[in-house]
Amino acid sequence: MFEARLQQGGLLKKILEAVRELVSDGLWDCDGSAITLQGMDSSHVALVEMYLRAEAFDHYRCDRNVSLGMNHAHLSKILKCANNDDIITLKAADQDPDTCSLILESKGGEKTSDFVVNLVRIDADQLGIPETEYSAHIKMSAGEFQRICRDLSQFGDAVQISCSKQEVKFSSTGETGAANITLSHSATVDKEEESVTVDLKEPVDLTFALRFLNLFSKASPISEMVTLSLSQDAPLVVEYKIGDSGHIRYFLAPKIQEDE
Amino acid sequence: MLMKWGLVPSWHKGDPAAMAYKMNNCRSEGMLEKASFKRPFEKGQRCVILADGYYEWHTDSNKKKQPYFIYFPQDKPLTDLPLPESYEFDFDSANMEETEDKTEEWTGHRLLTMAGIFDKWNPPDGGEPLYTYSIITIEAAPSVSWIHHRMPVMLDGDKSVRDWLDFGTVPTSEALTLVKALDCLTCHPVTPQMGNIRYKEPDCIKQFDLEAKKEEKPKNTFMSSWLKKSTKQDPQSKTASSQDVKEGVKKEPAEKKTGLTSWLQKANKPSTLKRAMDSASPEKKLPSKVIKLEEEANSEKE
Repeated sequence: MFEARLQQGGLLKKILEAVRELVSDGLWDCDGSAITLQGMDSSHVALVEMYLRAEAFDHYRCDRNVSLGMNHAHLSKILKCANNDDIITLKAADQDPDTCSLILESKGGEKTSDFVVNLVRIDADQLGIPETEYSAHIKMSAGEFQRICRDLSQFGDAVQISCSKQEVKFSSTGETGAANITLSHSATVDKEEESVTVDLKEPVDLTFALRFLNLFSKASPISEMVTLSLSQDAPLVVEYKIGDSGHIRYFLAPKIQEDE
Repeated sequence: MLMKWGLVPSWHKGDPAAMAYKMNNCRSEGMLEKASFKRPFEKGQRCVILADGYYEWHTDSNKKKQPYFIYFPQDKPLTDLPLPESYEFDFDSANMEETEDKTEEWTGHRLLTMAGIFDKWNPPDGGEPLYTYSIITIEAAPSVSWIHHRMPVMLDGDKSVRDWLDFGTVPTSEALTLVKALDCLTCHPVTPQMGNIRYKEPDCIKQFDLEAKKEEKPKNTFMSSWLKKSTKQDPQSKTASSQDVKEGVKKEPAEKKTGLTSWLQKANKPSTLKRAMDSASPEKKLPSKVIKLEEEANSEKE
Protein backbone atom coordinates (compact mmCIF):
# COMPACT_ATOMS: atom_id res chain seq x y z
CA MET A 1 0.00 0.00 0.00
CA PHE A 2 0.89 3.65 -0.20
CA GLU A 3 0.97 5.71 2.96
CA ALA A 4 2.60 9.05 3.58
CA ARG A 5 2.33 11.10 6.75
CA LEU A 6 3.26 14.73 6.66
CA GLN A 7 3.87 16.46 9.97
CA GLN A 8 3.53 19.91 8.48
CA GLY A 9 0.24 19.64 6.64
CA GLY A 10 0.56 23.24 5.60
CA LEU A 11 3.23 22.22 3.11
CA LEU A 12 0.78 20.10 1.14
CA LYS A 13 -1.69 22.97 1.15
CA LYS A 14 0.96 25.31 -0.22
CA ILE A 15 2.04 22.82 -2.88
CA LEU A 16 -1.50 22.37 -4.07
CA GLU A 17 -2.10 26.10 -4.15
CA ALA A 18 1.02 26.40 -6.27
CA VAL A 19 -0.17 24.00 -8.95
CA ARG A 20 -3.93 23.85 -8.97
CA GLU A 21 -4.62 26.88 -11.10
CA LEU A 22 -2.08 25.85 -13.68
CA VAL A 23 -3.04 22.18 -13.87
CA SER A 24 -6.63 21.23 -13.07
CA ASP A 25 -6.02 17.47 -12.95
CA GLY A 26 -2.64 16.06 -12.06
CA LEU A 27 -1.05 12.66 -11.86
CA TRP A 28 0.72 12.25 -8.53
CA ASP A 29 3.26 9.51 -9.12
CA CYS A 30 4.37 7.87 -5.94
CA ASP A 31 7.33 5.52 -5.82
CA GLY A 32 9.69 4.25 -3.17
CA SER A 33 11.64 7.47 -2.93
CA ALA A 34 9.42 10.39 -3.85
CA ILE A 35 6.15 11.83 -5.03
CA THR A 36 6.34 13.45 -8.43
CA LEU A 37 3.68 15.55 -10.06
CA GLN A 38 3.93 16.75 -13.61
CA GLY A 39 1.45 18.63 -15.66
CA MET A 40 1.00 21.07 -18.46
CA ASP A 41 -1.48 23.87 -18.68
CA SER A 42 -4.25 23.43 -21.23
CA SER A 43 -2.47 25.52 -23.85
CA HIS A 44 0.77 23.55 -23.50
CA VAL A 45 2.82 26.64 -22.94
CA ALA A 46 3.70 25.96 -19.33
CA LEU A 47 4.79 22.87 -17.49
CA VAL A 48 5.05 22.25 -13.78
CA GLU A 49 7.09 19.58 -12.08
CA MET A 50 6.79 19.02 -8.37
CA TYR A 51 9.20 16.65 -6.71
CA LEU A 52 8.86 15.77 -3.05
CA ARG A 53 11.24 13.23 -1.57
CA ALA A 54 10.18 10.64 0.95
CA GLU A 55 12.37 12.40 3.52
CA ALA A 56 9.86 15.21 3.67
CA PHE A 57 7.42 12.84 5.38
CA ASP A 58 7.83 11.52 8.86
CA HIS A 59 6.36 8.23 7.68
CA TYR A 60 6.51 7.10 4.08
CA ARG A 61 5.69 3.72 2.72
CA CYS A 62 5.19 2.81 -0.91
CA ASP A 63 5.23 -0.90 -1.63
CA ARG A 64 4.43 -0.51 -5.28
CA ASN A 65 4.52 2.51 -7.53
CA VAL A 66 1.12 4.13 -7.73
CA SER A 67 -0.18 6.98 -9.84
CA LEU A 68 -2.93 8.99 -8.25
CA GLY A 69 -4.99 11.02 -10.71
CA MET A 70 -6.10 13.95 -8.62
CA ASN A 71 -8.67 16.53 -9.47
CA HIS A 72 -7.01 19.52 -7.88
CA ALA A 73 -10.26 21.33 -7.23
CA HIS A 74 -11.52 18.36 -5.20
CA LEU A 75 -8.25 17.98 -3.38
CA SER A 76 -8.26 21.66 -2.59
CA LYS A 77 -11.69 21.38 -0.95
CA ILE A 78 -10.29 18.78 1.42
CA LEU A 79 -7.11 20.66 2.18
CA LYS A 80 -9.10 23.80 2.90
CA CYS A 81 -10.40 21.86 5.91
CA ALA A 82 -6.87 21.45 7.20
CA ASN A 83 -5.00 23.83 9.45
CA ASN A 84 -1.40 24.57 8.65
CA ASP A 85 -0.19 22.60 11.66
CA ASP A 86 -2.43 19.62 11.04
CA ILE A 87 -0.81 16.29 10.34
CA ILE A 88 -1.91 15.00 6.94
CA THR A 89 -1.78 11.35 5.95
CA LEU A 90 -2.32 10.17 2.39
CA LYS A 91 -3.35 6.59 1.82
CA ALA A 92 -4.06 4.58 -1.30
CA ALA A 93 -4.26 0.96 -2.29
CA ASP A 94 -1.52 -0.68 -4.33
CA GLN A 95 -3.25 -1.74 -7.49
CA ASP A 96 -4.89 0.89 -9.63
CA PRO A 97 -6.63 2.61 -6.76
CA ASP A 98 -9.91 4.39 -7.49
CA THR A 99 -9.75 6.50 -4.39
CA CYS A 100 -7.22 8.10 -2.11
CA SER A 101 -7.82 8.72 1.57
CA LEU A 102 -6.69 11.80 3.41
CA ILE A 103 -6.61 11.95 7.16
CA LEU A 104 -6.22 15.23 8.95
CA GLU A 105 -5.18 15.18 12.59
CA SER A 106 -4.99 18.30 14.68
CA LYS A 107 -1.68 19.00 16.37
CA GLY A 108 -2.96 18.15 19.82
CA GLY A 109 -4.58 15.00 18.53
CA GLU A 110 -8.06 15.97 19.70
CA LYS A 111 -9.58 16.14 16.24
CA THR A 112 -9.36 13.74 13.34
CA SER A 113 -11.06 14.19 9.99
CA ASP A 114 -10.85 11.76 7.18
CA PHE A 115 -11.78 12.18 3.56
CA VAL A 116 -11.94 10.04 0.49
CA VAL A 117 -11.25 11.60 -2.85
CA ASN A 118 -12.27 9.80 -6.01
CA LEU A 119 -9.39 9.62 -8.39
CA VAL A 120 -9.70 10.64 -12.01
CA ARG A 121 -8.28 8.87 -15.01
CA ILE A 122 -5.45 10.79 -16.57
CA ASP A 123 -3.79 9.31 -19.61
CA ALA A 124 -0.99 11.82 -19.84
CA ASP A 125 2.43 10.32 -20.04
CA GLN A 126 5.25 11.54 -17.93
CA LEU A 127 7.38 13.91 -19.90
CA GLY A 128 11.09 13.66 -20.05
CA ILE A 129 12.54 17.06 -19.31
CA PRO A 130 15.62 17.68 -21.38
CA GLU A 131 18.80 18.57 -19.64
CA THR A 132 19.56 22.06 -20.67
CA GLU A 133 22.49 24.36 -20.18
CA TYR A 134 21.17 27.72 -19.21
CA SER A 135 22.82 30.97 -20.11
CA ALA A 136 21.69 32.78 -17.02
CA HIS A 137 20.61 31.99 -13.50
CA ILE A 138 19.00 34.60 -11.33
CA LYS A 139 18.42 33.87 -7.71
CA MET A 140 16.26 36.29 -5.84
CA SER A 141 13.66 36.65 -3.16
CA ALA A 142 10.49 34.78 -4.07
CA GLY A 143 8.41 37.59 -2.65
CA GLU A 144 10.28 40.13 -4.74
CA PHE A 145 9.69 38.11 -7.88
CA GLN A 146 6.01 37.84 -7.09
CA ARG A 147 5.88 41.57 -6.52
CA ILE A 148 7.60 42.35 -9.81
CA CYS A 149 5.25 40.11 -11.77
CA ARG A 150 2.21 41.55 -10.08
CA ASP A 151 3.35 45.12 -10.53
CA LEU A 152 4.21 44.68 -14.18
CA SER A 153 0.87 42.99 -14.88
CA GLN A 154 -0.71 46.40 -14.46
CA PHE A 155 1.14 47.67 -17.49
CA GLY A 156 1.13 44.84 -19.97
CA ASP A 157 0.45 41.18 -20.65
CA ALA A 158 4.05 40.21 -21.13
CA VAL A 159 7.35 40.80 -19.44
CA GLN A 160 10.63 41.08 -21.23
CA ILE A 161 13.45 39.72 -19.13
CA SER A 162 16.85 40.86 -20.26
CA CYS A 163 19.90 39.78 -18.44
CA SER A 164 23.26 41.38 -19.02
CA LYS A 165 26.46 41.77 -17.06
CA GLN A 166 25.49 41.99 -13.44
CA GLU A 167 21.90 42.96 -13.72
CA VAL A 168 18.52 41.78 -14.82
CA LYS A 169 15.81 43.99 -16.23
CA PHE A 170 12.11 43.21 -16.21
CA SER A 171 10.14 45.36 -18.63
CA SER A 172 6.58 45.56 -19.67
CA THR A 173 4.95 47.76 -22.26
CA GLY A 174 1.29 48.40 -22.69
CA GLU A 175 -1.22 50.99 -23.84
CA THR A 176 -0.58 53.19 -20.85
CA GLY A 177 3.17 53.28 -21.26
CA ALA A 178 6.15 51.24 -20.18
CA ALA A 179 7.57 49.95 -16.92
CA ASN A 180 11.08 48.77 -16.19
CA ILE A 181 12.42 47.21 -13.03
CA THR A 182 16.12 46.54 -12.78
CA LEU A 183 17.77 44.35 -10.17
CA SER A 184 21.51 44.42 -9.68
CA HIS A 185 23.69 41.60 -8.46
CA SER A 186 24.06 42.09 -4.72
CA ALA A 187 25.27 38.86 -3.18
CA THR A 188 27.13 40.65 -0.42
CA VAL A 189 24.03 41.55 1.51
CA ASP A 190 23.93 39.70 4.83
CA LYS A 191 20.37 38.57 4.60
CA GLU A 192 20.06 35.95 1.93
CA GLU A 193 16.45 36.77 1.15
CA GLU A 194 17.42 40.29 0.16
CA SER A 195 20.26 39.30 -2.12
CA VAL A 196 20.11 38.98 -5.86
CA THR A 197 22.51 36.62 -7.58
CA VAL A 198 23.01 36.93 -11.30
CA ASP A 199 25.07 34.13 -12.77
CA LEU A 200 25.53 34.85 -16.43
CA LYS A 201 27.26 32.95 -19.21
CA GLU A 202 25.65 34.74 -22.10
CA PRO A 203 23.29 37.70 -22.23
CA VAL A 204 19.68 36.69 -22.73
CA ASP A 205 16.61 38.62 -23.73
CA LEU A 206 13.25 36.83 -23.69
CA THR A 207 9.60 37.69 -23.35
CA PHE A 208 7.06 35.75 -21.31
CA ALA A 209 3.36 35.94 -20.58
CA LEU A 210 2.84 37.50 -17.17
CA ARG A 211 -0.33 35.52 -16.65
CA PHE A 212 1.74 32.38 -16.19
CA LEU A 213 4.42 34.02 -14.10
CA ASN A 214 1.69 35.20 -11.75
CA LEU A 215 0.46 31.62 -11.50
CA PHE A 216 4.00 30.41 -10.84
CA SER A 217 4.56 32.92 -8.09
CA LYS A 218 1.73 31.31 -6.15
CA ALA A 219 4.50 28.99 -4.99
CA SER A 220 6.16 31.87 -3.10
CA PRO A 221 4.96 30.68 0.33
CA ILE A 222 6.96 27.47 -0.20
CA SER A 223 10.36 29.05 -0.41
CA GLU A 224 12.08 32.31 0.48
CA MET A 225 14.09 32.22 -2.70
CA VAL A 226 13.35 31.57 -6.33
CA THR A 227 15.77 30.74 -9.12
CA LEU A 228 15.09 31.78 -12.69
CA SER A 229 17.08 29.98 -15.35
CA LEU A 230 17.05 31.37 -18.84
CA SER A 231 18.39 30.36 -22.19
CA GLN A 232 17.61 31.76 -25.58
CA ASP A 233 16.44 28.41 -26.99
CA ALA A 234 14.81 26.83 -23.96
CA PRO A 235 11.84 27.56 -21.75
CA LEU A 236 12.31 29.69 -18.68
CA VAL A 237 12.66 27.68 -15.50
CA VAL A 238 11.27 29.10 -12.28
CA GLU A 239 12.35 26.95 -9.40
CA TYR A 240 11.24 26.96 -5.79
CA LYS A 241 12.96 24.61 -3.35
CA ILE A 242 10.81 22.68 -0.94
CA GLY A 243 13.22 22.79 1.97
CA ASP A 244 15.92 20.21 1.40
CA SER A 245 13.47 17.63 0.24
CA GLY A 246 12.24 18.62 -3.14
CA HIS A 247 11.29 21.38 -5.52
CA ILE A 248 8.62 22.85 -7.70
CA ARG A 249 9.86 23.79 -11.13
CA TYR A 250 7.85 25.70 -13.64
CA PHE A 251 8.78 25.79 -17.28
CA LEU A 252 7.42 28.46 -19.56
CA ALA A 253 7.85 28.80 -23.29
CA PRO A 254 8.80 32.31 -24.34
CA LYS A 255 6.36 34.38 -26.31
CA ILE A 256 7.04 34.32 -30.00
CA GLN A 257 5.81 36.88 -32.45
CA GLU A 258 3.57 34.47 -34.36
CA ASP A 259 1.40 33.47 -31.46
CA GLU A 260 0.05 36.91 -30.81
CA MET B 1 -35.52 14.82 -61.63
CA LEU B 2 -34.30 17.28 -59.07
CA MET B 3 -36.11 17.55 -55.77
CA LYS B 4 -35.61 20.26 -53.20
CA TRP B 5 -35.50 19.71 -49.49
CA GLY B 6 -38.35 21.46 -47.66
CA LEU B 7 -41.83 20.45 -48.70
CA VAL B 8 -43.95 22.95 -50.60
CA PRO B 9 -47.56 21.68 -50.72
CA SER B 10 -49.21 21.52 -54.11
CA TRP B 11 -51.83 24.07 -53.08
CA HIS B 12 -49.31 26.62 -51.82
CA LYS B 13 -49.99 30.16 -53.04
CA GLY B 14 -47.26 32.65 -53.65
CA ASP B 15 -43.52 32.36 -53.74
CA PRO B 16 -42.37 28.96 -52.50
CA ALA B 17 -39.15 30.54 -51.27
CA ALA B 18 -41.15 32.73 -48.89
CA MET B 19 -42.90 29.95 -47.03
CA ALA B 20 -43.69 30.62 -43.41
CA TYR B 21 -42.28 27.30 -42.20
CA LYS B 22 -39.51 25.23 -43.56
CA MET B 23 -40.96 21.77 -43.84
CA ASN B 24 -37.65 19.96 -43.87
CA ASN B 25 -38.83 17.40 -41.40
CA CYS B 26 -42.15 15.75 -40.94
CA ARG B 27 -43.02 14.32 -37.55
CA SER B 28 -44.36 10.83 -38.07
CA GLU B 29 -46.71 11.31 -35.10
CA GLY B 30 -48.66 14.11 -36.77
CA MET B 31 -48.08 13.01 -40.33
CA LEU B 32 -51.61 11.75 -40.84
CA GLU B 33 -53.24 14.82 -39.33
CA LYS B 34 -51.45 17.65 -41.05
CA ALA B 35 -52.78 18.26 -44.53
CA SER B 36 -49.36 19.20 -45.89
CA PHE B 37 -48.07 15.72 -45.19
CA LYS B 38 -51.26 13.69 -45.14
CA ARG B 39 -52.29 14.46 -48.70
CA PRO B 40 -49.03 13.53 -50.44
CA PHE B 41 -48.69 10.48 -48.21
CA GLU B 42 -52.14 9.25 -49.08
CA LYS B 43 -51.42 9.82 -52.75
CA GLY B 44 -48.45 7.50 -52.42
CA GLN B 45 -45.88 10.25 -52.94
CA ARG B 46 -43.20 8.46 -50.98
CA CYS B 47 -39.51 8.88 -51.62
CA VAL B 48 -36.18 7.77 -50.25
CA ILE B 49 -33.52 10.29 -49.33
CA LEU B 50 -29.93 9.14 -49.72
CA ALA B 51 -27.11 10.54 -47.64
CA ASP B 52 -23.73 9.51 -46.33
CA GLY B 53 -25.04 10.10 -42.86
CA TYR B 54 -26.32 12.92 -40.76
CA TYR B 55 -25.10 15.02 -37.87
CA GLU B 56 -26.55 15.55 -34.49
CA TRP B 57 -25.19 17.63 -31.62
CA HIS B 58 -24.93 16.22 -28.17
CA THR B 59 -24.89 18.64 -25.26
CA ASP B 60 -22.72 17.31 -22.46
CA SER B 61 -22.95 17.99 -18.75
CA ASN B 62 -20.79 21.09 -19.19
CA LYS B 63 -23.29 22.41 -21.74
CA LYS B 64 -20.70 21.95 -24.44
CA LYS B 65 -21.94 20.78 -27.80
CA GLN B 66 -20.23 17.91 -29.54
CA PRO B 67 -21.30 16.88 -33.05
CA TYR B 68 -21.71 13.23 -33.95
CA PHE B 69 -21.80 11.72 -37.41
CA ILE B 70 -24.57 9.11 -37.60
CA TYR B 71 -24.60 6.52 -40.38
CA PHE B 72 -25.30 2.91 -41.29
CA PRO B 73 -22.72 0.41 -40.07
CA GLN B 74 -20.12 -0.09 -42.80
CA ASP B 75 -18.04 -3.06 -43.88
CA LYS B 76 -15.02 -0.83 -44.09
CA PRO B 77 -14.64 2.09 -41.73
CA LEU B 78 -15.48 5.43 -43.28
CA THR B 79 -12.35 7.47 -43.67
CA ASP B 80 -13.18 9.84 -46.45
CA LEU B 81 -16.10 10.47 -48.71
CA PRO B 82 -15.58 10.23 -52.44
CA LEU B 83 -16.36 13.86 -53.03
CA PRO B 84 -14.33 15.62 -55.68
CA GLU B 85 -12.50 18.72 -54.57
CA SER B 86 -14.96 21.11 -56.12
CA TYR B 87 -18.27 19.44 -56.09
CA GLU B 88 -20.83 20.88 -58.42
CA PHE B 89 -24.14 19.29 -58.85
CA ASP B 90 -25.15 18.81 -62.43
CA PHE B 91 -28.63 20.27 -62.25
CA ASP B 92 -29.36 20.04 -65.94
CA SER B 93 -28.70 16.35 -66.32
CA ALA B 94 -30.38 15.64 -62.99
CA ASN B 95 -33.56 17.14 -64.34
CA MET B 96 -33.45 15.10 -67.51
CA GLU B 97 -35.09 11.77 -67.81
CA GLU B 98 -32.86 8.92 -66.79
CA THR B 99 -30.98 7.35 -69.62
CA GLU B 100 -29.52 3.90 -69.62
CA ASP B 101 -25.91 4.79 -69.03
CA LYS B 102 -26.89 6.57 -65.83
CA THR B 103 -28.07 3.43 -64.06
CA GLU B 104 -24.64 2.35 -62.92
CA GLU B 105 -24.69 0.52 -59.66
CA TRP B 106 -23.36 2.32 -56.60
CA THR B 107 -20.31 0.53 -55.31
CA GLY B 108 -19.18 2.89 -52.57
CA HIS B 109 -19.98 2.81 -48.91
CA ARG B 110 -23.46 2.02 -47.69
CA LEU B 111 -25.63 5.11 -47.92
CA LEU B 112 -28.23 6.11 -45.43
CA THR B 113 -31.74 5.49 -46.78
CA MET B 114 -34.26 7.77 -45.11
CA ALA B 115 -38.00 7.73 -45.65
CA GLY B 116 -39.57 10.87 -47.01
CA ILE B 117 -42.62 12.22 -48.73
CA PHE B 118 -42.68 14.58 -51.66
CA ASP B 119 -45.04 16.92 -53.39
CA LYS B 120 -45.22 18.71 -56.69
CA TRP B 121 -46.00 22.37 -56.90
CA ASN B 122 -46.97 23.99 -60.16
CA PRO B 123 -46.12 27.64 -60.48
CA PRO B 124 -49.18 29.74 -61.31
CA ASP B 125 -47.42 31.19 -64.35
CA GLY B 126 -47.04 27.71 -65.76
CA GLY B 127 -43.28 27.28 -65.43
CA GLU B 128 -41.38 24.13 -64.51
CA PRO B 129 -43.03 22.23 -61.65
CA LEU B 130 -41.20 22.31 -58.33
CA TYR B 131 -40.63 19.00 -56.61
CA THR B 132 -39.97 19.15 -52.89
CA TYR B 133 -39.63 16.64 -50.10
CA SER B 134 -39.64 16.29 -46.36
CA ILE B 135 -37.84 13.70 -44.23
CA ILE B 136 -40.01 11.78 -41.79
CA THR B 137 -38.75 11.85 -38.21
CA ILE B 138 -39.55 9.75 -35.19
CA GLU B 139 -38.68 9.35 -31.51
CA ALA B 140 -35.06 8.18 -31.59
CA ALA B 141 -34.04 4.55 -31.15
CA PRO B 142 -31.81 3.75 -28.14
CA SER B 143 -28.56 3.62 -30.16
CA VAL B 144 -28.80 7.32 -30.94
CA SER B 145 -31.36 8.66 -28.48
CA TRP B 146 -28.62 9.66 -26.03
CA ILE B 147 -27.42 12.18 -28.62
CA HIS B 148 -30.78 13.55 -29.66
CA HIS B 149 -34.36 12.49 -28.95
CA ARG B 150 -35.44 12.50 -32.60
CA MET B 151 -34.13 10.70 -35.67
CA PRO B 152 -35.07 10.30 -39.33
CA VAL B 153 -37.08 7.20 -40.19
CA MET B 154 -34.64 4.69 -41.66
CA LEU B 155 -35.42 2.15 -44.32
CA ASP B 156 -33.06 -0.67 -43.50
CA GLY B 157 -32.39 -2.98 -46.41
CA ASP B 158 -33.41 -3.21 -50.05
CA LYS B 159 -36.81 -4.70 -49.34
CA SER B 160 -37.89 -1.85 -47.11
CA VAL B 161 -36.64 0.65 -49.66
CA ARG B 162 -38.47 -1.10 -52.48
CA ASP B 163 -41.72 -1.41 -50.51
CA TRP B 164 -41.57 2.21 -49.54
CA LEU B 165 -41.12 3.35 -53.12
CA ASP B 166 -43.59 0.91 -54.65
CA PHE B 167 -46.72 2.99 -54.18
CA GLY B 168 -48.48 0.91 -56.81
CA THR B 169 -48.62 -2.36 -54.91
CA VAL B 170 -47.80 -1.33 -51.35
CA PRO B 171 -50.73 0.68 -49.99
CA THR B 172 -50.34 3.61 -47.62
CA SER B 173 -51.46 1.59 -44.63
CA GLU B 174 -48.78 -1.02 -45.26
CA ALA B 175 -46.12 1.58 -45.93
CA LEU B 176 -46.96 3.06 -42.57
CA THR B 177 -45.62 -0.07 -40.87
CA LEU B 178 -42.17 0.89 -42.18
CA VAL B 179 -42.32 4.12 -40.20
CA LYS B 180 -40.66 3.00 -37.01
CA ALA B 181 -37.55 3.75 -35.01
CA LEU B 182 -35.04 1.14 -36.13
CA ASP B 183 -31.92 0.48 -34.11
CA CYS B 184 -29.75 0.23 -37.18
CA LEU B 185 -27.43 3.20 -36.84
CA THR B 186 -23.93 3.73 -35.62
CA CYS B 187 -22.15 6.96 -34.85
CA HIS B 188 -18.91 8.57 -33.82
CA PRO B 189 -17.89 12.02 -32.66
CA VAL B 190 -16.47 14.39 -35.28
CA THR B 191 -14.58 17.64 -35.12
CA PRO B 192 -16.68 20.51 -33.77
CA GLN B 193 -15.34 22.56 -36.67
CA MET B 194 -17.80 20.87 -38.99
CA GLY B 195 -20.49 23.05 -37.43
CA ASN B 196 -19.22 25.83 -39.64
CA ILE B 197 -20.83 25.43 -43.07
CA ARG B 198 -17.71 26.75 -44.72
CA TYR B 199 -15.65 23.95 -43.20
CA LYS B 200 -15.32 21.24 -45.86
CA GLU B 201 -12.33 19.20 -44.72
CA PRO B 202 -12.39 15.38 -44.80
CA ASP B 203 -12.38 15.23 -41.01
CA CYS B 204 -16.01 16.32 -41.10
CA ILE B 205 -16.72 12.61 -41.00
CA LYS B 206 -13.57 11.31 -39.34
CA GLN B 207 -13.64 9.90 -35.88
CA PHE B 208 -12.72 12.68 -33.50
CA ASP B 209 -10.71 12.02 -30.38
CA LEU B 210 -12.80 13.45 -27.57
CA GLU B 211 -9.95 13.14 -25.10
CA ALA B 212 -7.64 15.13 -27.29
CA LYS B 213 -10.23 17.87 -27.54
CA LYS B 214 -9.85 18.66 -23.88
CA GLU B 215 -6.35 19.85 -24.49
CA GLU B 216 -6.57 22.82 -26.73
CA LYS B 217 -4.26 22.79 -29.66
CA PRO B 218 -1.08 24.41 -28.53
CA LYS B 219 -0.62 27.63 -30.39
CA ASN B 220 2.88 27.90 -29.13
CA THR B 221 4.77 24.75 -30.01
CA PHE B 222 7.97 25.93 -28.41
CA MET B 223 7.41 23.86 -25.31
CA SER B 224 6.48 20.65 -27.10
CA SER B 225 9.43 20.84 -29.46
CA TRP B 226 11.76 21.52 -26.55
CA LEU B 227 10.40 18.55 -24.66
CA LYS B 228 10.95 16.33 -27.66
CA LYS B 229 14.64 16.96 -27.32
CA SER B 230 14.74 14.97 -24.15
CA THR B 231 14.15 11.64 -25.82
CA LYS B 232 16.37 12.43 -28.77
CA GLN B 233 19.34 13.61 -26.79
CA ASP B 234 19.12 10.97 -24.14
CA PRO B 235 19.55 7.54 -25.61
CA GLN B 236 20.47 6.16 -22.20
CA SER B 237 17.34 7.37 -20.53
CA LYS B 238 15.68 4.36 -22.11
CA THR B 239 18.19 1.89 -20.75
CA ALA B 240 18.14 3.55 -17.39
CA SER B 241 14.50 2.70 -17.05
CA SER B 242 14.48 -1.01 -17.57
CA GLN B 243 11.18 -1.21 -15.79
CA ASP B 244 9.65 0.92 -18.51
CA VAL B 245 7.38 -1.57 -20.22
CA LYS B 246 6.49 0.82 -22.99
CA GLU B 247 10.04 0.84 -24.32
CA GLY B 248 9.03 -0.81 -27.54
CA VAL B 249 6.48 1.80 -28.39
CA LYS B 250 8.09 4.07 -30.91
CA LYS B 251 5.76 6.99 -30.64
CA GLU B 252 6.15 7.27 -26.90
CA PRO B 253 7.01 10.92 -26.50
CA ALA B 254 8.44 10.49 -23.07
CA GLU B 255 8.99 7.79 -20.59
CA LYS B 256 7.15 7.04 -17.40
CA LYS B 257 8.36 8.04 -13.99
CA THR B 258 10.61 10.83 -15.08
CA GLY B 259 11.25 12.03 -11.61
CA LEU B 260 12.89 8.83 -10.55
CA THR B 261 14.47 7.79 -13.80
CA SER B 262 16.04 11.14 -14.38
CA TRP B 263 17.54 10.99 -10.92
CA LEU B 264 18.70 7.46 -11.54
CA GLN B 265 20.07 8.43 -14.86
CA LYS B 266 21.97 11.33 -13.43
CA ALA B 267 23.28 9.01 -10.78
CA ASN B 268 24.46 6.61 -13.42
CA LYS B 269 26.57 9.22 -15.07
CA PRO B 270 28.20 11.49 -12.56
CA SER B 271 29.46 13.81 -15.27
CA THR B 272 26.00 14.54 -16.61
CA LEU B 273 24.81 14.88 -13.08
CA LYS B 274 27.23 17.62 -12.39
CA ARG B 275 26.39 19.44 -15.56
CA ALA B 276 22.70 19.11 -14.96
CA MET B 277 23.12 20.45 -11.49
CA ASP B 278 25.16 23.34 -12.69
CA SER B 279 22.61 24.20 -15.27
CA ALA B 280 19.38 23.60 -13.44
CA SER B 281 20.29 25.31 -10.23
CA PRO B 282 23.66 26.45 -9.06
CA GLU B 283 23.64 24.97 -5.63
CA LYS B 284 21.63 21.81 -5.55
CA LYS B 285 22.79 19.37 -2.97
CA LEU B 286 23.21 15.75 -3.87
CA PRO B 287 20.61 14.01 -1.75
CA SER B 288 21.69 11.00 0.23
CA LYS B 289 19.07 8.89 -1.48
CA VAL B 290 20.56 9.55 -4.87
CA ILE B 291 24.04 8.72 -3.74
CA LYS B 292 22.71 5.45 -2.51
CA LEU B 293 20.96 4.83 -5.79
CA GLU B 294 24.10 5.74 -7.62
CA GLU B 295 26.05 3.16 -5.67
CA GLU B 296 23.41 0.60 -6.31
CA ALA B 297 23.34 1.39 -9.98
CA ASN B 298 27.10 1.18 -10.24
CA SER B 299 27.27 -2.10 -8.42
CA GLU B 300 24.58 -3.41 -10.71
CA LYS B 301 26.62 -2.44 -13.70
CA GLU B 302 29.59 -4.37 -12.44
